[in-house]
Amino acid sequence: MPKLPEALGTPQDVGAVAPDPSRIIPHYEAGQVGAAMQGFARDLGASANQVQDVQDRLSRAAAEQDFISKKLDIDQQFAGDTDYATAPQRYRQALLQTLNDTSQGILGPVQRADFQQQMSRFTEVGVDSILRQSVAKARDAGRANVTQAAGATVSDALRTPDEANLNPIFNALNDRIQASMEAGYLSPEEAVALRKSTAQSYVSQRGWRLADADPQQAVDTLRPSALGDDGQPSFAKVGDWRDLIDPGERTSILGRAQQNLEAEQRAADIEALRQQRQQQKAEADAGNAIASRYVDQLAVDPTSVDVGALARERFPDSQQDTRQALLGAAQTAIAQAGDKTAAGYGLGFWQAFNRVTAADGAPNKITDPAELLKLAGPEGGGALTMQGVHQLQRFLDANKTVEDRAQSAMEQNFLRQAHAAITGTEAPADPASEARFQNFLGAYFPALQDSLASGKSAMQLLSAASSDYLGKLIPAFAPPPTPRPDTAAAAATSDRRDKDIETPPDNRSFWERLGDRWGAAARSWNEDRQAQLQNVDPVLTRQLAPRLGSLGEDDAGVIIVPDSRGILDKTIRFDPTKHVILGNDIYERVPEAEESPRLSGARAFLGGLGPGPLAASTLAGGIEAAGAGARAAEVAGAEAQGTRAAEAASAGARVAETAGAAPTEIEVLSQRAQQIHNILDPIPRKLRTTAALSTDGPTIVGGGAVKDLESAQEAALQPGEISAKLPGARAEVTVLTEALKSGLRPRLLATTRDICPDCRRYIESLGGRLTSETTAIFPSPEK
Amino acid sequence: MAAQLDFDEPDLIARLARLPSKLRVVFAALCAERQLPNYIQFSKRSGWGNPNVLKDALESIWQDTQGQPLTKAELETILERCMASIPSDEQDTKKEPAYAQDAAASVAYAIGARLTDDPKEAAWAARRAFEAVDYFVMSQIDSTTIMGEHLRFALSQPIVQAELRRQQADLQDLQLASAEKSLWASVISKLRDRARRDAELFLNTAARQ
Repeated sequence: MPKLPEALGTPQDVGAVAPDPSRIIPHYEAGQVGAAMQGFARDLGASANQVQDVQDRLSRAAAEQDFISKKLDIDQQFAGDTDYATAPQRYRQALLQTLNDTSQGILGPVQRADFQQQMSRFTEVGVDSILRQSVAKARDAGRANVTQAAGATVSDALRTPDEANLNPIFNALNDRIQASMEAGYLSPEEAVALRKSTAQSYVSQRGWRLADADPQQAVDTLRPSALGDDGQPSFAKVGDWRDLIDPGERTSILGRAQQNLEAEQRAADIEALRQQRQQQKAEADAGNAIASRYVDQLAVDPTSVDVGALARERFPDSQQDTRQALLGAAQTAIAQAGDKTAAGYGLGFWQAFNRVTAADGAPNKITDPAELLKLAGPEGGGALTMQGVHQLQRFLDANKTVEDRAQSAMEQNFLRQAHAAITGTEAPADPASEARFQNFLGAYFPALQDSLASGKSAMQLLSAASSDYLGKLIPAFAPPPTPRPDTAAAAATSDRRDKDIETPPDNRSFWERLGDRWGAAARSWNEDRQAQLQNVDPVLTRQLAPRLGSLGEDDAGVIIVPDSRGILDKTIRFDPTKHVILGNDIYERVPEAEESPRLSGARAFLGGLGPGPLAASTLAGGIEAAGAGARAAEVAGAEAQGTRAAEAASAGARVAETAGAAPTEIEVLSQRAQQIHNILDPIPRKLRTTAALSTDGPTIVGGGAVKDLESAQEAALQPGEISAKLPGARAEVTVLTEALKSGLRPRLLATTRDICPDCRRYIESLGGRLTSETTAIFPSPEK
Repeated sequence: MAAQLDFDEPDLIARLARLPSKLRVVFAALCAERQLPNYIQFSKRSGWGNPNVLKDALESIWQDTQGQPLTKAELETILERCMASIPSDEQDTKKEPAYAQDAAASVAYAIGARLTDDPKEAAWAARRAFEAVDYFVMSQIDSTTIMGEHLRFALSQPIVQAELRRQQADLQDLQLASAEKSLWASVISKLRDRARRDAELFLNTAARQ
C-alpha cells in the first residue's frame, strides 16, 4: 500500500479535509502539519506553470528538428542550382519561410521568439555558406567557359583559310579572357597562361596539320634557318605564327612532314610501278593469249596453222619478242612436221622443265613464254618441240590460284621422282636415259590429260596412295637391271674370259631400286642437315673429333656400336650433349667444331633431329630432354587456354612424366606448334591456327588462314625450322604446299586447332592420314 | 636521322604500367582508332561484320575516359559484341581479313584495358597496330619463305617506323598529361583527333591491297 512521505507525518497527524469547490487550494489552519500541507499546495500551483513551459520546450525541440530537416532538403536542392547570382537570396527566403512555418508549432511566445532568434543565426550561417559556394561555382563555371572558348578559338583559327581572320578571332578571345579576369574568374597569372597556351595550341596544331595535309609545304615553311655548331637546328624569327612553335616540337613536326613526304613518294612510286606492271601484264596476257592459241594448234597438227595469218596477228608493241619467237617456233614445227626424229617433247625438255620450275629468283629461271618458244625455234636447236612447249606452258600458268600452285607442285615433285627413277638422276641425263624419260612422258601426259578429262583429280592421279596413281607407269621405263656389285666383282675376278655371264635377275622392287639410287644423295644431304641441327660443322667434326663408332639402336634408344674405325671398345648409350651423329658415324662433340656453343643437345632434340634413326622419340639422350619437353608442353598448355592442341600437349606431358619416357615425335611437334602459336596475344591466339610439318628436311611452320606467321613468331623459329607463307590459305595447306614446292616429303603434321574437312581431304589426297583431330602422319612410300 | 624503333612489348608494358589506368585505356583506344578504317574497308568489300559495332564501342570508350563512365556490365556487353565482330579462320570471306582482325582486336583490347586495369591489354592493342603494318610490308615481299633479313627489312620500312613513332608520341603525351594532372579531357581529345587523322594513312595502306 502506498505511503505518504514520512516528512508529512502519519494519516492521523494530517486529519480530515472536506472538499470545497470554491477554493482552488484547500486552506485551513491545521498547525504544523497544516502549514506543511499549504506549502505543498503552493508548489502544486507552480508545477502547473511548469507543465506549460515543458510543453513549449517540447514544441520548440520538435520545431528545431523539423527546421533542420527541412534546411537539409533546401541545402540539397540548392547544391545543384546553377543560377549562382540569385541562389543566396532565394536560399535565404526559403529558409525564412521554413523558419516561420516551423515556429508556428511553439505556443509560448518566449520560446517561439527564442527559437526564431536562434534559428535566424543558423540561417545566416547557411546563407553565407551558399553565398560562398555560389561565388566559387560561378568562378569555376566562368573559368570552364573561357577555357572552352579558348578551344573553340583554336578550332576556328585552324578552320579559317584567311590569315586576316586570325586577329579578330584571337582578339575576341583576349577580350573574353580580360572580362573573365575582371569578373574574378581568372587570376592575372592564369589569364596570361591561358592566352599563351591557346596560342601555342594553335601553332602546334597548325604545324602538325600542315605536316599531314601538305608535307612539302610544311618542310618548306618550317625548315630551320641554320644548324648550330652542335648540329642542332635554329629557327630565325619571321614575325608570324611559326615563331611561337617550340623549337623541339617544330623539329618533330618537320620530321613527321619529311616522313609523310617519303611515304607519299613511296606510295606514288608504288602506284606508278603498279600501273606499269598492270600495263605490262595486260600486254603480256594479250600476247600470250595469241601465242597460246597457236601453240595448242601447232602441238596437235603444225600443218594446219596458217603462218600468214599468224604473221598478221596484232601483238602489242611490247610483245614483239613473243611474236618473233612464235613465228620462229611455228616455222620450225611446220618444217619438221612428219620428221619422226623431231617427235616427243624435245631433247632439252628436262632442262627446260627444271628452269621453268626453278625457285623464284633463280638466275636462269624461265618465266616468259617467249623463252619457251625460242627453245622451240631456230635458235633453240630443237631443244623443245611444240608439244614440249605446250606442256611446259602449263607449269608457267600454274600460279593463278592456291589450288593450281599446290597441284603444280605435286606434279613437279612427281616428275622429278619419275626422272630420277628412270634416268638415275634429277639432273639432265645421258641421251639414252633421256629418251626413256621422253617415252615415259609420251605415256604420262596423255594419261594425265585423259584422266583429268574423265573427272579424276590431280590428287588422285599423283598421290602414291591412290589406286589411280600414274607412278605405276614408271617401272615400264626404268633402266634394265644392272649387275649387283658382288656379282660384278665375281665376274671381274673370274677366270672366265667370257664377260657375258648371265646376270642374276634383280628381284628388288621398284622402290628398293629407287631407294638405293637416292640413298647416297640423301645420306649426304642428311649429314649436312644433321650437322646443322646439332650446331656443328660437319667437316671440322670429321677432321677434329675422335670417331667413336657406328649408330645403332636397342629397345631403349640410340646406342654407339664399336667398329673397326672407331675408338670405342664397348657399346655405350648415345648422349646428344657429348656426341654428334653424321650419317651412321658417331663422333665425340668437340668445342672446335661447335657452331653455336649455347645450344644444348636437349635443344637439338626439341628442334627435331630429322627422320629415321634420328627421330627424337628414339634418342636415349632424350630422356632428359623429355623432361624439358614435358615442362614446355605444360607451359604451352597453361598458356593456350584450352585449345585442343594444348590439351593434347598437356596430356602428352602428363604421360611423359608419368611414364618417365620421352614424348613421341608427334607430341613434340604438337608442343612446338603450340609454343609458336602461343607467341600470339590472346585474341589472335584464339582465332588463328598454327601448323608445324616435319619433313625429310626442315620442319615447316605456317599460320592461317587470316594471317601467315607474324614477325614475333618468325623470330622465334629455331635452326631447322622454316616458315611458309601463303596468304589466304589455311595453315595446313600453307605448310603442305611449301613442302611440295620445295620437294620435301611430309612426315608429320600438327596443328593448334581441329583440322577442318577441306584440309582433311587435302591431307588424304597427299597420302596422309589423320591420327587425331589436330595431327596427321604421311607414311613413307616404301610402306 | 632518327634511330630505328622496334616493337618492344615488355618495355611498353612497363611504361604503360606507370600511367594512370584511364590513360592506358586512352593509349589502347588510340591504337584502335588508327586501324578502324581497315575494318570498315574489309566489311565493305566482303559484306561481313558490322563496323558500327566497333565505332560505337570506341565512342563509348572515349566518353568513358572523358567523364561519362560506363558500368562493368555495359563494358562487358560492348566487349562481347566486339568479339563477335572479329573475323577468324572460320569465316570464308574470300577477302583477306587480316587487317580487320587486328583492328577489331585492338578495340577489344581497349575495352579489356578498361575492364581489367591490366597494362598488357593496352600493349596488345599496340601490338595489333604494329603487326598490321608489319604484315602489310611482309606481304609485299615476293617469297614463300621468310628469312631474318625479311624481318629486318620490314621493320626498317617507313610505314612500320611511322606507326612505332606514333605509339611513342602517344605514350609521351600521355606521360606528360599524367604528370600535370590537369586538363586530361583536352589532351585526350587532342590525341583522339590526331589518331583519326593518322588513320587515313592506315586506310590508304589497306586500300592498296
